[in-house]
Amino acid sequence: MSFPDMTVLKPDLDAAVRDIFAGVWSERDGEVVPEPEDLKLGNDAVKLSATVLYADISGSTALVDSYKGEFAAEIYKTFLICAARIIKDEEGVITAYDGDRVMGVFIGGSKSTHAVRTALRINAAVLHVVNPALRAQYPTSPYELKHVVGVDTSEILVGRIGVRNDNDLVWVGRAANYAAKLSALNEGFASYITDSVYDNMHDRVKYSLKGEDVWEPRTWTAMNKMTVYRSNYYWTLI
Amino acid sequence: MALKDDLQSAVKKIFHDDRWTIRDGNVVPQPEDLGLGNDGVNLDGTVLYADISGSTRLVDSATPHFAAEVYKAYLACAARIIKNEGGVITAYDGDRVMAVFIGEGMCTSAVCAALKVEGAVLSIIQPALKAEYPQTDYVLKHVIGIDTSKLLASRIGVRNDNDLVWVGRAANYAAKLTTLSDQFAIWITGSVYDSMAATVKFANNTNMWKEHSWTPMNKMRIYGCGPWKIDV
Repeated sequence: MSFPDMTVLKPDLDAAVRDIFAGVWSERDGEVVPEPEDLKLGNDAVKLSATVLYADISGSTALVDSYKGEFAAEIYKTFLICAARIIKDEEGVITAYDGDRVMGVFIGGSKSTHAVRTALRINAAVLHVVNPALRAQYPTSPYELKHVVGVDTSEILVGRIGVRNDNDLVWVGRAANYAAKLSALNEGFASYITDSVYDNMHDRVKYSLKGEDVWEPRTWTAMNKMTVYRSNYYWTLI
Repeated sequence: MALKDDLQSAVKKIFHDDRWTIRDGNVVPQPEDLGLGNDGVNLDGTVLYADISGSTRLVDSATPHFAAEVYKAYLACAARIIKNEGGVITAYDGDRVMAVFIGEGMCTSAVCAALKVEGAVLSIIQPALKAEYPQTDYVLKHVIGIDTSKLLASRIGVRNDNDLVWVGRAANYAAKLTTLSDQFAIWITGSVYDSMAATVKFANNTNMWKEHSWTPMNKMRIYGCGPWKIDV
């Protein structure tokens, strides 16, 4: 084919890929969420038992298609700043911003309770902070912010991709995948958690003050019919 | 300050207090190029997302180390090829990478990068995987999505975080295109197709791209490419 030739890359990529597949892994259990500089560029990994949360604006395509860039940017910024601050307040670590979503990782004994309370507080921030401020500033706008948070928990292997100077951690494990997939569901619920999260979290994020379970089970057909739970409950911000 | 007051003032600052200062950019900005407030850079940009498909099945059924090796091999190749084509990596997130190309020929460069990533998957990663794990029946599949539009880059406003937001059609559509069928390794919008050079459109006088109508997105015109590749 008559494409610009960049053959210089091939030996480099061949060697990098061979090293990755043939390399021996060094691995340790992590007590903190690692930063890229905590890991070497080779097959070095930190194993964590972690709860992963993704918070995503839903309908962002309609938002960028139908509204001015500045308006859409204000929505993105207000949502993500609230999500980021709540994640940090619940002792989670932000591991990636990517377009219109944020990924947070929680570890430690109450990781699922913290992550779920984060989801419920993000819902409160959308309902009681962002949307009221949006209506106050743009009283004639029909736009209303909707979002979805997905939460799952599992063992996670954290490694570096191996690109120098980049913030290039990979998060390998079920929770990273499922949390992202759950946050892409769009059926009128603000929070989704897997059954592993539901079974591990504290009763105070499971039941309302009246003692009712605020989570509704749903069969996730696309994912081997596993049971997940959804909710529109919120945890009041103070 | 209580969290609620803190959030209320941060949100009010964004919606009400801050005026936008927006300049046209001729490089892909880094977070430190922007202020924490309503400071923005407008760009004409081409956005590429590269994503491993079937990664859920991979993490569910393979050992974590095998899955991690596949992630690393794919993302390391994608990142190097993107940079080699002049793209800037703007986010690694789980099993995918986002990159922005700007300037003249940005669509051609992004599509060329995508074809080379496909080349790396077929001619570098898959053979190396088979050499190291002769028993495995795992085949790496991936999907790359590319769109081009005006983009507004701004900071979320969280100090010390790498917190750029990319607002614009291309950022959304490119990510959405990676969720389409991996029968085609590369999906591009009609805008990308119309602006890219013939060098990445035809191979041996054959058009590598097949037109589709993207039903959930107002039947917009998109193109899929496979099994064409460019050798790296």
